Amino acid sequence: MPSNVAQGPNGVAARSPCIFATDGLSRVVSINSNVSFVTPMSSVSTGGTHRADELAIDPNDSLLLVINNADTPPFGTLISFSATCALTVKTKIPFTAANGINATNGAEQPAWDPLTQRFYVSIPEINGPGGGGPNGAVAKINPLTGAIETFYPVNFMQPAGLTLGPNGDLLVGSNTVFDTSGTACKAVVPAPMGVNTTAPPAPATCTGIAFPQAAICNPNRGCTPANGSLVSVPGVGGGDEVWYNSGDGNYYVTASNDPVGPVFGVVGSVVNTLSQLVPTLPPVPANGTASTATFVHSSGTAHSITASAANNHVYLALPANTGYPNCAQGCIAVFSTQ
Amino acid sequence: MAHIHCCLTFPFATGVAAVANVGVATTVPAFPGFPIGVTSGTYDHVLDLTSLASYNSAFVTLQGGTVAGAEAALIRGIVNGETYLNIHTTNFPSGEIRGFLVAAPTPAQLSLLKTIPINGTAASPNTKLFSFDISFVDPATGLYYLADRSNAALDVVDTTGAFTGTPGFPVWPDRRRRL
Repeated sequence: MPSNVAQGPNGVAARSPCIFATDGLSRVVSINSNVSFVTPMSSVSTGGTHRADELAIDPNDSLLLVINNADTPPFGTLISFSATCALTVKTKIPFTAANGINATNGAEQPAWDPLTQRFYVSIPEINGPGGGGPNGAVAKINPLTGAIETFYPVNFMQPAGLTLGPNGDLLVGSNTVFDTSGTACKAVVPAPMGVNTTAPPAPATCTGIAFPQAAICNPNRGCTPANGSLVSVPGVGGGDEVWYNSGDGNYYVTASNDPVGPVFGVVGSVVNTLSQLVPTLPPVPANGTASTATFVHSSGTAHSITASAANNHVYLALPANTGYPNCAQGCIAVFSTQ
Repeated sequence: MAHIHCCLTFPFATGVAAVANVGVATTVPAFPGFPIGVTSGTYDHVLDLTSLASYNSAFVTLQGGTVAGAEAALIRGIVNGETYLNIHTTNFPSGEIRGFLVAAPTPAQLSLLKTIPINGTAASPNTKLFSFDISFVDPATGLYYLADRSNAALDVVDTTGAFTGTPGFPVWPDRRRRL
């Protein structure tokens, strides 16, 4: 069975006392931490055949938007949650041309914007070949109707991570690095398969001059370069999850396949520019010798990141490796300005 | 000739049409002291953006006729990916070496504080974490969650270090721990 069918859990989000997690076979689970950490409050299916993946919460309307990234076509599902965290499936939103956007390489992270009262979803590729196409987008979704109201083109990226920053800005991460001629750079290790691999991880390779980038998109202002509401953040790209930490005003951007190697980037939300690249897990074997090792998959080197606004610590999950202390079976690396 | 062009109509635009009307921001035909008429050489110079002598007069005029206007426009162009350095040669009069200017990241401020090991489950204690996905910190509780595929679990860490309980987790095995 392909790994993107049954693998899980995949996404997690919380709005106390509710914890929501997505799982393989289109399952979405809720937990009410006030009631029990032992018995789930609710378990529903989004109706797909593959995993339920990333999700976002609309606290105003008590809704989740859950993305089935690996189904064909990819789709989103609006799910309501009660005060006790019970789930009810509401509306399916196919990302198809007939429904407003022709997603040809899946759908990725959603985010909720209280300013516009809309969900936004990263669409890696529209009208493309199914990977490597230079035309991505951010789709705008009405939480009450499920309508895809519009989409904002974000080119020379394959939008993946998405997080809300100040003033209605969305930071859009890219899972692919393009070179300055507009050609997608290749990663030596194929797309994440959810298992360790025998091939050593490596950063992206490009036939031209690599130009890793993220973007800041402000939908409330039109998300267009014409008025500066869509701007490039050069210097970091080729990753998955992104996060905004309101405690320090920084975005954190994973980039496991950045051309310089696995890193995460720190992007200041005031100037929307990269202020730091932090090397993460170097391409070292998890065990064995260089010739016999099982290597850490590159997607694990800088893939999953979050931060606490209370202490401004940054948390980066790392797979089992010998490069970090206490990480022989995997660990969470905690970064701070100390 | 060698100079900096500004400002592209959109970030990192390439192609003949995109650069057709993009003017030169810095001194023409070349930076002060830039080696001309040679096939190799080195050049090291600090461009003072507060000095009128650093700019092409046409660029200054275009930016309101002041050094401050030119400085702001050039910095904005650099930050937005709308500038490029171009070295023109006899063989390639439209430019032989060209590259976009980007702001260099400042020296590292974040560094590793500590690591929190992720062990296998009670049923499979030797399982290594190789596959995982999204992580999330709930600002209301300070709880960190990691979608841990290798252990088929939600790993839960209290970033406040407050609780001591070890309740079981419903769907996946108990993964709750202290920071």
